[in-house]
Amino acid sequence: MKHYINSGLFIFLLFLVSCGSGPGKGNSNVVEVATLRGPSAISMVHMLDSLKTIENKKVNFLIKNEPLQIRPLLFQEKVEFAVVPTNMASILYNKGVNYKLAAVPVWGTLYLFGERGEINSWNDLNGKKIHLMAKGMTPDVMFRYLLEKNNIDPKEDVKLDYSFPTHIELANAVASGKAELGVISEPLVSMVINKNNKVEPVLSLNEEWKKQTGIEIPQTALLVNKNFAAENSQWINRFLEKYDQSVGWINNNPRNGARLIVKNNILENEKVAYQSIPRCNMNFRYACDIRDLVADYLEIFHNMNPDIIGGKLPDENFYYKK
Amino acid sequence: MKISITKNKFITVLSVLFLIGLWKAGSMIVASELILPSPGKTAIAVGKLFINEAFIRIVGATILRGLIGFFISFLLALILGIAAGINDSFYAFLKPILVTIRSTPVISFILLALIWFDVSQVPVFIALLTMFPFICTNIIDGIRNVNPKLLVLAKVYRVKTRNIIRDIYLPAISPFIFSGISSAMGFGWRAIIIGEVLSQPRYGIGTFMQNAQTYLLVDKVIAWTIIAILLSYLFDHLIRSVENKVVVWN
Repeated sequence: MKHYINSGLFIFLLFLVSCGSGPGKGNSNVVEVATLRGPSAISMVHMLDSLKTIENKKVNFLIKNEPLQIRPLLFQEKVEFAVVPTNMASILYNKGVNYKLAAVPVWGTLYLFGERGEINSWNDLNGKKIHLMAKGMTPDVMFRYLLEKNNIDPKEDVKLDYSFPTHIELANAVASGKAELGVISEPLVSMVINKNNKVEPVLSLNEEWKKQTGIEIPQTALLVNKNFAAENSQWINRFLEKYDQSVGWINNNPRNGARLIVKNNILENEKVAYQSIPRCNMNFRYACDIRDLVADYLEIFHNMNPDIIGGKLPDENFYYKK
Repeated sequence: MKISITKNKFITVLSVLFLIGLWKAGSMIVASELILPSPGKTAIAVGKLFINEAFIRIVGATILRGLIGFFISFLLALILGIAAGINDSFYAFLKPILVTIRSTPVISFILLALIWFDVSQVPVFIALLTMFPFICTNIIDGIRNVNPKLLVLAKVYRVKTRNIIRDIYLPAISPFIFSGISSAMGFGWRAIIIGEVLSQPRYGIGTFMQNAQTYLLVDKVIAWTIIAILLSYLFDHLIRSVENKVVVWN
């Protein structure tokens, strides 16, 4: 009993100390953009490489490996812009975290991987062990939805395994043959194909999702801080234009894009980067133009389990207006 | 004697109230249900967990893992512990192994187990490795603590082996065994829950804690934590009451 009380106290004190240094930034002339090492960093690579300032405000990019590393930056409002999965954006908004959806730059990039020729239809998955990462996050929820829609009970008919906790670990397990079937995202899809020519993408979750729901997957959300947005709407519009151009540029210049991806430490291998670009499904859309689509997407998750999107559909203030 | 017990109980209650008060104050300073929900809101979350139809299965799964891990490690510890307690060479052989297991960070075992075993076996394996060295070390200490003069006397008076075990060995080692079990269980529950968080079996306190964390349900994370503390406390209580009975019997 005693050590529980002690450790409880310790955590508490730690907590109070961390609150003291709380949110708020000293320098208002630096705009921080947190992005993910994956399709979202790839979609930004042109501005990430060359954009240093817009109208006297420095732009600084932070590349993180996992959405869970970005979440605390949002609690503390340490960044002006951030990329997170769209359902996490909805959770954060519904819990009162101060960010709005500005745009969706990346659409479905998830694939089920397996040995060539093993899986030809959903029915072939019956009785199989399938590796997923991060229970409760987009790849997991989406895959379980598709299983159900294809008459496979995710709890009884298949064995879902979450023992590889991050995208990178799971991709390595698939590439080394340790995981027979796994759901992974670009650009790791291209990496795995390059490492192991026995495996291939057996199902595109994006295509399967479209078949079932009739809508695209607005997978990744670009968020903007509410307070920052209230005072800098013109600046934000310029930034979003730059981002839009950056997405257009990489789709049209995959060779040069691949070079920038390696140069900026997003991926190590230029060939992998080049192959990955078309599959990253990058298409910059302003949030205010795709409100219904995003709402439909979140509604599907809501019907599965309201907690996935933070309890309810976000209201209209979730969507940033240009 | 009686007065001091009442007084200590009073202080214990005071200590718990102090902790809750500190928590309440903290939640008022932070003023965000998202970061730190108030004790009241968390109490409601705990209540909701209890009436959840899957509650028994979730907690039961964790308890079952704990008990399986405990019985395997107890059996193993009993065999190896007695052998090492009686035989000095075997003790010298076993000691570095025990020290190594006990000094290895729990997370190392978990990361390795996630590669070696099937998901459902990971928390049991972790329970086994965290509990075994505690119990084993205590059994060895208990046996080595038996007064050698008594043993010599027993031999001289040709006391039956059965009686030597019952009247000399058992009373000497039982307090050691119980204190070993108590600390082993304390560590074991925590290790099992970490294992569940990372391996995500279908049912288990850790599985649901991780889920709540993903969906930013902080009140639920704390509620599951309280359940875990209660679980550990109840088992500690249970061990103590069994110990009291055994000691009385002796």
